[in-house]
Amino acid sequence: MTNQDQILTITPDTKIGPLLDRFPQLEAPLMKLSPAYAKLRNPLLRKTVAKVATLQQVAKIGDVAIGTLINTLRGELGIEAQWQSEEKSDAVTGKPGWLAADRIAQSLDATPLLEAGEHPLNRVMSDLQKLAAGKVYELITPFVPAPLLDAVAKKRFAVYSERQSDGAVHSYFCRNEFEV
Amino acid sequence: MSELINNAEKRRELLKHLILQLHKGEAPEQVKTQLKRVLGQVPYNEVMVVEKELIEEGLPLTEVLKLCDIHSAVLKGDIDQSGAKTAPAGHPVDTFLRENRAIEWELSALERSYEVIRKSSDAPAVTQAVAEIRVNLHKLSDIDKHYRRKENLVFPFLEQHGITGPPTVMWGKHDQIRELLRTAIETFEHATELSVDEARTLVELVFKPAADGIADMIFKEEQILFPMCLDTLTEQEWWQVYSQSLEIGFCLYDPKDEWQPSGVEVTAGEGVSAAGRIQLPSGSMTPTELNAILNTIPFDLTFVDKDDTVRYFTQGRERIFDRNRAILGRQVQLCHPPQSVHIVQRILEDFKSGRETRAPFWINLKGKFIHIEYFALRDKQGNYLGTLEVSQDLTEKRALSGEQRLLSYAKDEKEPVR
Repeated sequence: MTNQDQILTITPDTKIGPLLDRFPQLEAPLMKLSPAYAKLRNPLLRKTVAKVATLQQVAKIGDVAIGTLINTLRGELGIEAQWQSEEKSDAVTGKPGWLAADRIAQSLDATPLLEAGEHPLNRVMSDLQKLAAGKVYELITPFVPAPLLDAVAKKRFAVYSERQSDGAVHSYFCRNEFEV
Repeated sequence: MSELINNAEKRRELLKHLILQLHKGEAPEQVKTQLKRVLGQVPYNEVMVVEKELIEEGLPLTEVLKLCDIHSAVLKGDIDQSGAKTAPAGHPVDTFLRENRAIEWELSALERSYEVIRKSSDAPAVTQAVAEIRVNLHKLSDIDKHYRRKENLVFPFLEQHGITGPPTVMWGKHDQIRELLRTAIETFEHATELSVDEARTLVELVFKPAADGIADMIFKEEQILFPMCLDTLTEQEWWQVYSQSLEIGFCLYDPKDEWQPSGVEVTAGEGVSAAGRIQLPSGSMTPTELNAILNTIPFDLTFVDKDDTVRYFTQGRERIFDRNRAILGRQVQLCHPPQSVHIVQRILEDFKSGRETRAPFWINLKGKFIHIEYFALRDKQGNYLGTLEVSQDLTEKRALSGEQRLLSYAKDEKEPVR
């Protein structure tokens, strides 16, 4: 399984029960996040609630930020927060050639949306329709928004995503037609 | 419940959804019709909020202006809102709506139980609320039939008319609701008793999400799907939906009204379905099942059609009066000895003329008490269809006394249980 496949197994829509069944090692770090998660050790709730509760709901009952929850679980499995839709990147910086600060035309911080349990996908897609060729769109999230990056890459956009020093994930999109 | 569903935010969401559909070019005519209908119901200040949100979300201004045009036309009364179709009694959409009312009743009962669990720390009260939730959830599992009629009978026609988006999205939502309901019901298989804390967790993460999904689906059906279907499906297509509905069944409601489509050649709601099941107004069965039923009922039947021809008899294990298949197709008058033919003739004439409907006899035959009764069979319009002879040996039944309340299998010496 590639890094990008793995990252797709842990998203806000992932159901907690099947995830713990597949990766039992996630149980201990999960329990540390919130005392409320002791519930998941209850055999009855494990068979019922865990089967249908998504990480988004789990974050809410534990009063844990969705970003913290996702990053903790992904970190435990050693999934890198790097995401790139293409192999070509600058040998020195490791970043793709099309990514330059002066090309960033629009920036969206989707952290509040994600914490409220909403998906920024429609908003981002609608913004990207209006993005001029050669311009770059920046999306800021608390964790790598893997399904969104996957969807954008399918729309013929180059995608590059990295975690910056403040811990936030910055993803950059640029139309594929614009080749440097 | 209704105030929960028909709030301003939901209306705005719906309006936005319709405009975005229009923007995507999805079935524009149908969407336009729905849009006009919804615009007619949404207060002007709410429309303004939606327009502002759409512009902020990046919808091209030209699209928003189009919406303004439609909206002002609605306000001026240029658009005839009275053209919105409604479903007559018994129509498949009318049945869906009535089912929704019955579903809402269960949802509001659930909501009352949720409140008890949220607020009460009194274990017996919580136990009682959980028991009530269990009953309501079991009733709600009937919703599968409501969804299957949409998926298997209505969606294929929508797709034929080029409307593919809403059916696909809805089907996905149906499956989510089914999974939540299934999990909710399974809870009671895993546990006989729930602690207050377990009950609260289950309410918030399983029971309530299931109920919310159902309530949300009712809103989407009644605001988008059904009006769109009424505008799209032909009378002939509705007739097909209607005719096949019984095979899937109904949800918490038994339709009382029969619906007759206009301008469509209709066949009775009976016949043989594609799956080879014999469809009757109150259910269906295969010929094998029907044969087993008729040969098991504790009396003998013989059926003579309206032309006095013997058409059918049951083949129970112990017929009182022997019948062999040589009599099929023969005139009933020829099956009786000459001394009783005039009685047969008299009964048939009285039945055909409508003077009489039943003719009972009882006799002692070889130590047994035998009851024989003739019934006139008629269709809904009262037309004579034929005569049914019902004979039964009542010797054992007449000898019964007291009560038999405990299970005790009737011993059948002829066929020992293996």
